[in-house]
Amino acid sequence: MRTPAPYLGEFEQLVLLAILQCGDEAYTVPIRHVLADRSRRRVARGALYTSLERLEVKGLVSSRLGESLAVRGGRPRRYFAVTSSGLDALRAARAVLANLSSGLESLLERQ
Amino acid sequence: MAPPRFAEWLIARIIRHDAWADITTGDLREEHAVLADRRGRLAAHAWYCLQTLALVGDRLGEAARKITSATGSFFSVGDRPMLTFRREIVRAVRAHARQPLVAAAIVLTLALGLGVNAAAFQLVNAFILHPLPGLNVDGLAMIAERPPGQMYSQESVAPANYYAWRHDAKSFDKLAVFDWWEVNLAGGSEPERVLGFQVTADFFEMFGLVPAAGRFVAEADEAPGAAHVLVLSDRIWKRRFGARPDVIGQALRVDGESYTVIGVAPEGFAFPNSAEVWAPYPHTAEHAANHTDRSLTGFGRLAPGVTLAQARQETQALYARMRATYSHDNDGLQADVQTLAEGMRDTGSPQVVAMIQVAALLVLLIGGTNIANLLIARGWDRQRETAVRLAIGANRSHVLRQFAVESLVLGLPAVPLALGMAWISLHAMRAAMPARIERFLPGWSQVAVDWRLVIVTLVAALVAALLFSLNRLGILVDR
Repeated sequence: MRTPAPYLGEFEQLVLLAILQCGDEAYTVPIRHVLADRSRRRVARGALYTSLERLEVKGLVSSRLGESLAVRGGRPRRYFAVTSSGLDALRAARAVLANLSSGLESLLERQ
Repeated sequence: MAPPRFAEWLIARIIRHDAWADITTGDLREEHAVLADRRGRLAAHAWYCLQTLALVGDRLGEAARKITSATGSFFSVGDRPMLTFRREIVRAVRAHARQPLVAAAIVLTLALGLGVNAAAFQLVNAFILHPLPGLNVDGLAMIAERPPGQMYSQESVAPANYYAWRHDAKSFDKLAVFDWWEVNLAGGSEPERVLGFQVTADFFEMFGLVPAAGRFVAEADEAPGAAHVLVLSDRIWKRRFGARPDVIGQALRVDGESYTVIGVAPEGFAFPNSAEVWAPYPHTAEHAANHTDRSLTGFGRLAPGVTLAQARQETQALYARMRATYSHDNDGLQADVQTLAEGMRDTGSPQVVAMIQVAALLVLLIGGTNIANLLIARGWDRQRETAVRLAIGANRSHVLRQFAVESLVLGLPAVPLALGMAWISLHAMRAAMPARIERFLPGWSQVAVDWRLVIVTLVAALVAALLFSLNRLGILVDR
């Protein structure tokens, strides 16, 4: 029997989508900018880091450290990538949303 | 380009135990550099400082939550007001952390207003309320001979009139005078010009002082032909003589004449006007006959049970007798008695200091108006929330308490900032005052931050917080 995809909170979904949007340059700075720009809400730095850590513990993202950079005061960037489990979880969450929205298209369509 | 050093240090301190400390610091640096390239150094620094404030706010909110959960069981049974108050503090901290720039502006504006007033109040305290700090001046009064309407009381007593009062007055149990005596002092160190005073025998005892070493001036030292003796201040004793106990009995050259050191005044005593040495005022025949040279400052201790008014009455009656006898010397003048503190007060300073205090209060008023506007602007943003709360049954006192707590959370941090500003400005004032003028300002040495100032500033911050909250309630509720 297939293991059900782990439950994703709303913010976790957004973080995973932002990582996917950033592609190969998915480190904390552009992830936060994409999140803030596209969700049009203030993203607390601490909330993002906590969420990334939780997603990594759940196995939904993986991370690696880049090279130390002078612009960061000699500190490295931390790059993230969505794992296959993460993609499964996103698909499941999207399916739930589609399922619940079914039949409500006319109501939910933008006026 | 590096971010502001203090802000970076503060962030590093706050997050030093965080697992993401390196990433956080690195991200902030990188974003700062990008912003600096795009919008300039000033914008980047401002952004960095805002991020610092936001981080501080987050940590305060976290700390508030930890305190809440740690003390929850302690306060949860039967102590609802404390629980509510604690919740409102946490709510207030979170609310301010969401708008760190506004909160910082309010704290800084209040700190500036309070700091200016703290410095002004200390001037009022030093020049008006306590011009003779550290001295026991209860029951001490100054006597003066002056034309009607003139307020200045110092250097107004003729020697012969003083001796007459000393002999005849019953309303004083001690009377003394002092006379300026700026001299060249040699011995113990390099020769130097020092400020001294010639004083009569009861001068030191008037203040209830005990010599730190040796003895004070006695009546026998005033006698014509008596050996020249000198009392040193604690300051000059330490500076020129290394606080050596064997200074007693040492001979010094004062204006070319030999003086023997007989005593050292207690630490901190430098009355009047930062005096460094005291010598006897000689009771010569010339002084005893001098009713015209009004260069002495006279003061005395009221006899037990005698009021100032009674002392004034007797002094004036005795002076009227002197005028009758020596009318060509004392005509047109009258005697007066006032407290020593009033008499020693510089005649022009209280008015200047009062003006400074008024100006400081105006600064606080303007700052308070700005803060009130800022709070109102924020209040309008929360008008819907407050209206809903009132509609579903919250009463005005609860809403007022919330506003009061929010104002207090901003007002209390302003207090240490205000005291810091007051310390800096008072320190600068003291450094700028020339020593030759400082000696004429009794109380100047006490112009500094002390416990009274801390309490006054704290009370002012609490009052300001209450006024802001009352103002907000009035704006939000009256629709």
